[in-house]
Amino acid sequence: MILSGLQIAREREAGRIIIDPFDESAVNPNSYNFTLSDHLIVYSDELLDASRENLTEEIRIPPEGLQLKANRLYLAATREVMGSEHYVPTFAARSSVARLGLFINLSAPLGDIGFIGQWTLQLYATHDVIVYEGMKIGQMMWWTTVGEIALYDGKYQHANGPRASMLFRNFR
Amino acid sequence: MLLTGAEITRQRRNGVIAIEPFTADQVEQNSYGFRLGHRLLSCDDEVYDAHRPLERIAPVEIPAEGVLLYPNRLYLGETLEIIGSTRYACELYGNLSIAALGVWIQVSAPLGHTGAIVRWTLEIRVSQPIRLHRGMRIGKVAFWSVNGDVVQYNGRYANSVAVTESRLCTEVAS
Repeated sequence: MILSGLQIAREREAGRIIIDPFDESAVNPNSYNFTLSDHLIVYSDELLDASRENLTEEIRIPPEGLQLKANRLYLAATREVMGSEHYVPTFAARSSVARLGLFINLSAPLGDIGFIGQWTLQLYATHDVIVYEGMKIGQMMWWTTVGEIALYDGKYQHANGPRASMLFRNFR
Repeated sequence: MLLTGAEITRQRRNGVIAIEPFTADQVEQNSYGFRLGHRLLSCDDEVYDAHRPLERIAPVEIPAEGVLLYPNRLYLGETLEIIGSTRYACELYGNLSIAALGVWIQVSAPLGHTGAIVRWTLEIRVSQPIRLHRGMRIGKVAFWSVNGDVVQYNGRYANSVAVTESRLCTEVAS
């Protein structure tokens, strides 16, 4: 079952969901609206290889906003640290963002119980679009589970800012 | 409700969930990390017609050195594992590591029906050129408990064991 917004706020109050910083006005009926940090990364090379570490470059979103080019991948991050040791998180773009043609993840909405950190977003615009630091870009949902819980302790734990793929580590 | 990794493992032992082959180290907190299978299919039709069969192209084997995929083109891949459940519904997603490389593993169609125990076809699209490797851990399958009487899938992709192109054309009234 999906948690209601009221329940998300209650569970956060009880320390069972982490959203930091937290803004009461960002609570939706079934989700919490998170915001975009100013920190983006892009891959330096055009050609990627999933089995190798791919070099990246940093971009900062200036106060006047940054124009994302269509059909190009930007890795971004949430400003909020979010996670839970009790509920499964999934996230989606806000409908208003999707209506601008902007993906915030590429078929990868599912998080792991126990991951706590800033979330890496995959920004991919289908039309050039200007984005701003602090804009409410997506929404986090939480789901109840059945079965014994083991907590995430993977390679992205406690992420701070956007993380490039660490898939290459599986190839060692 | 979403099954935890321990519950996925337990229900597989009970025979209610199928994941073959299965290794304990691919069990995740609330999903199972599936791998990219060996076959890839890309159709050459200039225009896809929802009412007509596509030019059938034999799937190619991904070579040992990997396969280079390009943007603005749709590739169909497959899971290495046969996955499904007679009791739960499932959803297939990319993992963060593959999404952060600009790769989609499905195109807005994550849902797998109860009773479909198959080698899943993946709709792969990339945002920049990338080399993918067979057997790499590419996605996460999650299982959902079902509210209400369970009906088993018996659709056109039942028993799929290899990458399968769209058969939407079979829906057209003749």
